[in-house]
Amino acid sequence: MKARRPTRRPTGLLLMGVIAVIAAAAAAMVHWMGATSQPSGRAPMTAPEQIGGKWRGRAAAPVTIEVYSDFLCTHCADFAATVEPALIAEFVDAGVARLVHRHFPVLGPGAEAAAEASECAADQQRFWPYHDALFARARRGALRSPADLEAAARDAGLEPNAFAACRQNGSGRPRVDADRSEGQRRGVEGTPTTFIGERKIVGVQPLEVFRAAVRDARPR
Amino acid sequence: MPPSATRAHARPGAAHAGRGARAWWTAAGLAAAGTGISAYLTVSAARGVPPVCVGSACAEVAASPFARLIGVPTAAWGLALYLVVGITAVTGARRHESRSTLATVLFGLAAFGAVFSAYLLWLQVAVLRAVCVWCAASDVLWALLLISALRIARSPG
Repeated sequence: MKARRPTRRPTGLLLMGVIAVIAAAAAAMVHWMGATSQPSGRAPMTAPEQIGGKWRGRAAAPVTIEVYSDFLCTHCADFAATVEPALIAEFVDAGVARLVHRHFPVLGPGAEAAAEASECAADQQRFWPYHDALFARARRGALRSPADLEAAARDAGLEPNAFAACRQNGSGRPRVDADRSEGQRRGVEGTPTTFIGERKIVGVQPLEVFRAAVRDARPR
Repeated sequence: MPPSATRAHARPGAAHAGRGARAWWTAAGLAAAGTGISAYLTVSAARGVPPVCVGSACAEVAASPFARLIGVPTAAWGLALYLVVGITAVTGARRHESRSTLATVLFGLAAFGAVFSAYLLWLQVAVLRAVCVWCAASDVLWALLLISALRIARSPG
């Protein structure tokens, strides 16, 4: 008679499967909470679900607004002072859209240095305060030298030693280069250029143009 | 001597053992592929450079807050898990006497990886709305590893 080899008992497997699923669910929960909760000890942000880095807004917002920008560009400073706050108030804070800043420094080494410095601010979860401080300085012509970048860092409440170390080791440069390369691939030629869904909007156009693009991009 | 005669003198169960070892080596190969992908993504994360990708999805995913788990790049956790799965599979392929226990361990690791990978895929599709091809490839590997581990676990010991 042919001897049958014993098959493994399913009880152990079932138990191991249940343990694995529970462990994976716990890891997923830790991952989700770590990514979506606001870092402790940091300045309050405008929207409760706002997350760090170069994003503003709800992670699951149905529309993404991407702005290719240069901190030394006066049109970008105008955009940051007029269109951007309106879009944030109307769509980002309402959870309809998330706003993503993309670097596209076109105005030389100073613009690149400002973009890299802003990445150092992002490392401290203070990108948006630094973004606002840089554009505030750009509007009043006070963004001309490396010392101005440090002054903006003080305005934005950055930790100065970490900021200086980050700028010195150039860790922001690859991220700036990546944004710029991606912008070139997407056909960005000047700043500001905004992508909302499939729509590309060049320059500081009337707010209604951006509103219509967000409405068109919203899932029906 | 004809080949059939050689087969006739083979040790009983050797053919089965060969098939069993192949299944373990297949799992080890899948783990090696996953190790390569996650190592590349870990190095990219450490250098702060988005991975080479079709479109902007990888940069979007890599720049998102979901790219880290407890301060460590998510890809690095994947790398560690793939390595453990690979070591388990290679040990199972080489040590016949330990296969019963190792098969259960391999199944548990693969189930954990597949479930967490499914969660990451959901994040990319439903939350980020950007699917990184490297992550998608890893998702496929975890699905194949789970199937492979299940077949090993259910095969006669």
